[in-house]
Amino acid sequence: MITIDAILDAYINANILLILVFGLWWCARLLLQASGLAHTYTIQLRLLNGVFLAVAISPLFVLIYKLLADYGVVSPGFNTNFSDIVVAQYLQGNFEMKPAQLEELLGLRGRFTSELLGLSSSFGIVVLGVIATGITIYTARLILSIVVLRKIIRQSHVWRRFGNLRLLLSDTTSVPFSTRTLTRRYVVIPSNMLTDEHDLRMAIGHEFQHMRQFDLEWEIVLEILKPIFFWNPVYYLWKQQVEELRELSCDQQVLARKGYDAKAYCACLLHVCQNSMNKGKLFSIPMPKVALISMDHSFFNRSSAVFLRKRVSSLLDDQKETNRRSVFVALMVPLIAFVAFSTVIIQKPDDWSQDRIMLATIVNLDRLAERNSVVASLAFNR
Amino acid sequence: MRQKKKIEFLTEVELEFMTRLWELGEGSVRDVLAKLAPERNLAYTSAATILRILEQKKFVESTRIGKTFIYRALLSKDTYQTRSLKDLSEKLFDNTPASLVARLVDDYDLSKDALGEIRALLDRRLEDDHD
Repeated sequence: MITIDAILDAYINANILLILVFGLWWCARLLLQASGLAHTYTIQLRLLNGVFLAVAISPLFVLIYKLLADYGVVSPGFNTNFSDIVVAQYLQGNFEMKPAQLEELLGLRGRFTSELLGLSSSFGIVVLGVIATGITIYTARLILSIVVLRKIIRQSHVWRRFGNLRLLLSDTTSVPFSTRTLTRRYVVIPSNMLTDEHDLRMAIGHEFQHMRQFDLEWEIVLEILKPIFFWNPVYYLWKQQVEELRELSCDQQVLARKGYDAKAYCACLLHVCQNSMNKGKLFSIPMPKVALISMDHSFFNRSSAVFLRKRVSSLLDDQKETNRRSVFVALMVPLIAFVAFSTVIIQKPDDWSQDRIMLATIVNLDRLAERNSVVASLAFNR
Repeated sequence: MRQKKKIEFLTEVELEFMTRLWELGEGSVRDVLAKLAPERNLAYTSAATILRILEQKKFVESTRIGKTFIYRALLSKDTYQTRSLKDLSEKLFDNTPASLVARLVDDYDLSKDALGEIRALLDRRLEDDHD
């Protein structure tokens, strides 16, 4: 049976992993930029999504590792726990620190979880209260955004039907966007756009490309995860990266596939932006949808104007992305290996290792020596 | 199927189409397209879609003659003008039509003839009320 302890442990691990993996992703991106591959937006988007998937299935890596250990493929003496590795390094004299300090540091996570679960201190109560309130508020926001989105879809007019895809015309939205339910996909176009044939074609082409890239599905997953990771700044940075890369990649692919004129495409983006500004901010709350242009002004999102400028300059640069499968594989394999390794080493150890027992013994001996010296000095003073 | 909320006002493009239909009385998609400004350069399918939406919103109705749909406005121009002015008065002029008229007279740079017409209209209305 899954205990609350195990859930909290998995939650802490997921947050640590998200931070570690995002750091590594940032390094991979810098490497691509240094190699003159900064414009390979589709590869970068696939890498980021692939790594996210690896984080999502990370408990599977732990399971595989445990199976390998059970079948003796991994030696029992092989240290795979981060705290055990640190203790081993300490005992070998590779870094200096007071033993009691190190033990305190290593026990930090254990104390934190026990304080949270036992509600034994005001700190634990406050943290748990903040997490519970945050999850409730962000879940309510998510539900509200779905209700608003459903309302926009219900009030729209069906223009075309292709299988499970509905092309809708809406009077209430000023920015074309796409979204989906479990069984249906929707592309919503502002009805005023019907009067501009060129903009209409480009907007539909753009939204169809989002569907080909499975951007809707990723957006929905990220929005669903928001209530869980609401406090983690890395989650917002991650989402911002995904949003930027998917738009840049989509623009690049639409131009390459359809052969639209880059200037006309940029003009379409600017028209939509202008219409959206004239109508006022329609989407004041984030929604599980993928729009042609983003008017999001949240704290972690850079200004929409700055991003629009980046999109336009990227389109006018006309750097076509060649299919570099080798680059993707060369980066994806080490990234997934890192996720698997990090997942295994951040797990809470099942039992105390020999090194950990040794550290505890040293700490106890230190404490004993300290007490003895106090007693000896008192006796000497008498 | 769930009934859509009744839409009372036209979008900019729909108003353009309705204006042409009011002028025509009734007409096909091609008739309405022919009435639009040449620089509009609107595709036949887009125009047909706009008229179909107007029909869904119950601003127009259509009858099929052969392969062609003939559209006719269900709402008169006067009725729509009244509805729009009432909405404007409610939303922007605190439901006081006098403020709306005052703003119009002050800022619209009306000619003496136009002002005379307004005065005549008001006099006639006041006389009617008096009777």
